[in-house]
Amino acid sequence: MNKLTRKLRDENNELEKQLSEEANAVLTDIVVYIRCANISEFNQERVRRDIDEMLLEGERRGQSVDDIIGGDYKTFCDSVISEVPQLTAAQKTMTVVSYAVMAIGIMLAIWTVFAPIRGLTQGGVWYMVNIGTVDIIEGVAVIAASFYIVDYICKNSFKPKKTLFFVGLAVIIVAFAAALVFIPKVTLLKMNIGVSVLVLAVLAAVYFALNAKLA
Amino acid sequence: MISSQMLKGTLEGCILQIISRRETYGYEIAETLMRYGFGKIAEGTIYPLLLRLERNGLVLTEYRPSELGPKRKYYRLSDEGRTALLEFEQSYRELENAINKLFDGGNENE
Repeated sequence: MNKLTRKLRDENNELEKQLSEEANAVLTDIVVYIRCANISEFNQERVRRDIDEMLLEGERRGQSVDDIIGGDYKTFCDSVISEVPQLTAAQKTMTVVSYAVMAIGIMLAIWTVFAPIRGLTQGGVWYMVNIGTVDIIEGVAVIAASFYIVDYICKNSFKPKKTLFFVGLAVIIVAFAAALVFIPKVTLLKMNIGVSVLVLAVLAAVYFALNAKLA
Repeated sequence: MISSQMLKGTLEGCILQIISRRETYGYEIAETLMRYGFGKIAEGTIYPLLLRLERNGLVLTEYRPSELGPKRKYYRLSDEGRTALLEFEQSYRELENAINKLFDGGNENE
């Protein structure tokens, strides 16, 4: 997220403190739905800003949320999203890469932080980060489940389908449990903890550079 | 009550006409439409159309302080918007003429 987008987001957070509970509840569903749209974070905040203003002024005039937006919030969101510039193929690629970099960075940070404890308790050395098939399977499972949960919440923010959600989650868990059973447990990578920290710094720099480009 | 299908084809042009008279904002546009007999239209219905007009360069926008609190988004017509409005009015007059002839029993070749 770049500076301008962050500033807009902070302004929106402040504006929304002035809204009623009813308006905030509806706005939360709307914002969650828009977060999954194929539009930039800046445009998501720009639209959020306009909707905040509509709701705030409408409430001050004594209108209900339905009076202001109309009854069908999902249709409203779809109409709004269709009128905002969509991410180009290059921007979509950069978004996917930035998520991948973030996910790898988080997993590497966890492995790095726990490396000394694992090293000392498993008869190894504290300054080596060992990454094996089990670590990668667990890491990918957590990331896959996280993306699935976020994507489900965004797309179903107006009408959650609970059974379908749990079926999807169960499929992910079973798939990765099977991988843990059948894939041989070997150490794939060993690196000095200093190198790991350096790699983390590079990943962080790449992540922030990509997000600065994605206005 | 005017059907939503009929409104779909003309609402944008009508919004351009309202904005051409003076700089205005979403709620005021919705209220103006209601006063002219378009029925109750929620500001949320107007908003995506205003986004489209802005994206196509037909309107320009500016945030200004409002008496009700947050900065309000004002819309004014751009030069392209004035051209689009003229084209809409021309198309609408042709359509109006054709429909009136059909319903008033006029000669189809007039």
